[in-house]
Amino acid sequence: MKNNCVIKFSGVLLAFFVYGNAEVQANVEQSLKVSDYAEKGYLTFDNKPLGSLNRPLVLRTFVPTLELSKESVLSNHSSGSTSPKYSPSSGKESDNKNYQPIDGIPAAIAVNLGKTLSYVWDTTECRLLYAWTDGFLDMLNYWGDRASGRRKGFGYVPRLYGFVFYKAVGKHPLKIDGVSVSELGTPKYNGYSIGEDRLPVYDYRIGKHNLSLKINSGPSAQTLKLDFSSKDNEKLEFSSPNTQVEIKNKNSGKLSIIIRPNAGERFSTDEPKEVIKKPSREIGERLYTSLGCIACHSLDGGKNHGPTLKGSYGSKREFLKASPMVIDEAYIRESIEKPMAKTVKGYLTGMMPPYKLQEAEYNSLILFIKSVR
Amino acid sequence: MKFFILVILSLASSLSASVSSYPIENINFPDDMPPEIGGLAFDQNGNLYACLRRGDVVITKPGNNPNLTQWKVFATGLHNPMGMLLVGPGHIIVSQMAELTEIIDTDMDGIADRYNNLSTDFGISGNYHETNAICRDGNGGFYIALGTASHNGPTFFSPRGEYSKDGRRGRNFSSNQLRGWVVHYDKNGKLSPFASGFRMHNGITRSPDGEIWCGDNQGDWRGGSPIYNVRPGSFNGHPSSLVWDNDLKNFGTPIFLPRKMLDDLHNQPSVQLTRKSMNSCGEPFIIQSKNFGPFNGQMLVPDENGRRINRIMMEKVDGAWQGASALFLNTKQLRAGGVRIAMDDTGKTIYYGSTTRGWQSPDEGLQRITYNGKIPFHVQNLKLTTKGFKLWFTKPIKKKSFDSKKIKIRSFRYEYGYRYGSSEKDKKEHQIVAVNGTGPFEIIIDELVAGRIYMIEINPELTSEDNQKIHDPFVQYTVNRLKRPETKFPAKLNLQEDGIEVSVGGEFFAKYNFSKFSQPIIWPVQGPGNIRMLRDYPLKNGTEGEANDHPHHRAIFIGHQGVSGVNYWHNQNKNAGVVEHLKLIESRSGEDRAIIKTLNAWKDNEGKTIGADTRTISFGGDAAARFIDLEINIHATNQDLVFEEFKDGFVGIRTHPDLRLNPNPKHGVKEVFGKARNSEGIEGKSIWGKRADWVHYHGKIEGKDAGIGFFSHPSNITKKGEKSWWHARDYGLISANPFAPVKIGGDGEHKIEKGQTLTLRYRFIFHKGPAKDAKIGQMFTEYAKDDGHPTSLMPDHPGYPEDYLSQKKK
Repeated sequence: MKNNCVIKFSGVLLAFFVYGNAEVQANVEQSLKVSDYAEKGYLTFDNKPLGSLNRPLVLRTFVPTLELSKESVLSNHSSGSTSPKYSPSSGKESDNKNYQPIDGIPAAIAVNLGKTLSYVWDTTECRLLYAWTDGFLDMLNYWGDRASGRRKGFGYVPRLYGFVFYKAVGKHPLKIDGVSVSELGTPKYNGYSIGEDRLPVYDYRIGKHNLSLKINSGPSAQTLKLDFSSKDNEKLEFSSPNTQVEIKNKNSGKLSIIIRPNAGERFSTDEPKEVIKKPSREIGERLYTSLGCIACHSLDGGKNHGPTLKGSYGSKREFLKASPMVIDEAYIRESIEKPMAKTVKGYLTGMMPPYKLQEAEYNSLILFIKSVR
Repeated sequence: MKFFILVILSLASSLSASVSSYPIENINFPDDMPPEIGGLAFDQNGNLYACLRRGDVVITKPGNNPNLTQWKVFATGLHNPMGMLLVGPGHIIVSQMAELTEIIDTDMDGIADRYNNLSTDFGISGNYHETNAICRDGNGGFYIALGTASHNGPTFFSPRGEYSKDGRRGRNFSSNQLRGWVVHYDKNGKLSPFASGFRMHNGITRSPDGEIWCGDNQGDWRGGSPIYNVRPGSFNGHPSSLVWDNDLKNFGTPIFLPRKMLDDLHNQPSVQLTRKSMNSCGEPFIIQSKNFGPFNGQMLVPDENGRRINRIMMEKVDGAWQGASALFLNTKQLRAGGVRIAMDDTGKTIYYGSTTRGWQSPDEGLQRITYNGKIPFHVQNLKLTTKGFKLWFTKPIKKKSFDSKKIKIRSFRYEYGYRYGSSEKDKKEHQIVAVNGTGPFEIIIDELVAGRIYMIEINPELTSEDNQKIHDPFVQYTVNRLKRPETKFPAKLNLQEDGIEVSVGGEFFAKYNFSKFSQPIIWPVQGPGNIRMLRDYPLKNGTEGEANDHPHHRAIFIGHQGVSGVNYWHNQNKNAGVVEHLKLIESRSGEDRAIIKTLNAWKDNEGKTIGADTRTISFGGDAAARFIDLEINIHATNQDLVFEEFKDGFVGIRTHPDLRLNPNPKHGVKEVFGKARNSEGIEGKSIWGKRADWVHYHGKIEGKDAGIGFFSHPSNITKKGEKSWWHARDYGLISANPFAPVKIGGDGEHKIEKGQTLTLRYRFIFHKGPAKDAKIGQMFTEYAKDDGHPTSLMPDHPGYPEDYLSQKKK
């Protein structure tokens, strides 16, 4: 494994950023196609189970933490600690070696609607934790393969694969009659119903308030639609830092919102066969499509959620807060990696998620953007 | 919801069974469906529900041909569901990793559409080993068995439920809330702790008589594979879970508690299965059918690793369940990893679900075992007698040729400790004294001792009248308790809120008060003929003829003037500590003696816990004399305990004033009738400060001849290796003190190192009639032979807990 393509999350989850690698891309698509569950309706020995729009898959399992904040997002969980390592041969503890806890969320519900959407809703926080496309969970480490049947590795938390576009940030985003859920005590999960559209509708209790929530994909790629309702018609509001939310419906006791991407990370469970060594304009062009840049940044000067790329390099930009400047490579790099740093005048802040890429991928995108004249 | 009804049809071959009375058939599953059985249950329409490890619940209606079994999916989305109960068709209760869940098919289209969370009030660490199982409570609620985590897997930074650093120690551990417990979910939805001390109780069962049963896996703190009768509040041997027991929270990390203390707290398993018959217990199943062969009412326990099913024959002995086990099926035709059994409504067939995923080669699936009406040649039952065992076979023996040459009996003990499993310790080959009867057979052996496992091997050539060889030629019996002798004076307990009253032969004898003047006190005590034996003051004021000197002389009391600086004798002193009754560990009532066992905390004058004791007190007697036996184990739980050199200690009794040797008219004691003597032939007040096996105070109490004998067991420590030193006074106080000052002839200071235990044993005799008839010396001789209560600790076992820590730390 090459260091430059691996990001390590607390020693547990290996995430490979392999965009632009056609072979890996093909593997992902292939695994998305063979979905026993969507076809047969039961879980098989297939360790990458997937649902479909017609037959969503609800899977309760351990799920990755994805670096969610333990203080704010996972505030109703307790905190693990190191403990002395135990030796099965002597039956004793070591006095200098310790076990470290690992990342993982114990009681969440993972749902997959095929390629379109996967999400994790947590029963302890009563909250949507993250959402992704193009994949779901690889259960191999936890379920084991058919032949040996054994868990794999010490940290066997199922591995997420696909493109994560939303991650919960900050304290619970819901306000009930103007009071934040985080101030109303420990949420209590009651259960879920499966409706005609086969999607789970969660219900939970916050203080004296009874709420329900349905999570679906939004009107465009990498968006989410959340339908909240409250039993006693309480006023519901949703706000979360660094997250663009569009309110669709806000009647008494109802709140329907569209959440736009606030993250951009690709995870693969496959080992990349090829690491991009030399950046190129062509790779940049492929990334422009596959990362979803195309959804907001036109190549022909058309106005969209974000400014067009046409002729952008070398042109002068004005910003909401920062001083005007001429677009250079450093600015393009910053805009991809930290899009919140500067917002072009006339556009909304926080629309674009940050992208964590290989060095060569950043440089390929820069080459491509420079070429769009 | 009508979006899919899944019908899976497949044609795989099933094995033809060769087991002569119980043929085995494989129930078919689609080739790609992992049949990793977690729970099994029938509804009233004969549909079999199976929950599978990956999260599906599937249903079938078993037909004649198991190859044509069709499954449909009822529910999905469960995390390692292992317990399932049917409420009705389309309505189940499931225990899964994260919660107790109610699953309902509200529109009755065959597919569940509502998942109610009934409870998440227990922890999950993130560790794969945390099993779950459920049974009914008989009252609209459930018991949930919550397994512990294993060192083979991690725990999470963000687990659910309270986390305990002290619980996350050792091989299997309880890092999060209530792991290792059986919890009770009542019909109103409240979850409360029920019993602790489990490692991995993969299965829980309620028998028709309302008893709760759990098997457990072999492992640390398990000598063999145990089967527990789960009593409320009991601790079942695996210590990590004690971090969630409020009574024990002040004693520090549970796995470092003195082993004797854990052993005393341990609710001994009713049956300990040896490796010869079991590797780890699956869920116990109780046969409630006369159509399943000659074993109605007995228990089947599948082996979670091996290809075998055990049969357990329980009986109640001295108030507790214990019993025998034999192999029911032991055949390669069985799949390995049997975890759950369910019986269909014919009562002839059981369904046997197995899964081994994660701990050995995959061998999961569902099989059914049907009784074909041909009586197998088995041991039908084995019961304990006072001299050995009574053995039943399912069929008459050929030519009635069963005799002592057809069996061999040996016994052994399992030790109790942190190590994984126990070898057979302290082994004995037994002489068979006689085999009587023509069936059942009475087997008399040379010696029967509590705390041992007896293995009875039967000659495999033993043949039945119809020429069948014995099916499984051994049966074993776990003797936790011996059969008590017949008595006309049963000792009975009456449990009350503030204490326990004891009667003997229907007459009041004594009361153990949990808390009187800073500690548990035995008061009053009435001898045979209803003679009052103790001073009432200070427990009761105003009794005529009593002096109110020494108000700390509280009837029968236990303490010492200085234990690491705390005074447990003079309860009115500034530095007086408190001995707090924490719980009644166990009680036995109705036999020739009654027993109570309690756990107590020794606290200093600021309420800080410095130590603990577990005390077993036995009460009994007849028309002439009654006794109270005290076996107290003092545990240095929190620190070294130093019993300082003081004359005031350790077990005291303040007698009826009539037994005083000297009057005290100034304090209202005008006339006394007491005389004293000791085992060394010394009489009168000069027995004070002497060493002796016993002291005896006697005389007329309220006009009637009576007396009190006080014995110190010869096993009690003395520094000089001599008899006990007595603080036996002339004004009614008698105490035995192993820590008296050296300068007055005592033994001086004694230190119990942290993690260690000091055991002391005493007996009181309360008799009526003159001293010469009391046979005190003879009674002491009997008492000296008594080994005390059985223990699972081995004398040659390395010390604990020091041994647990690495050599480097030592």
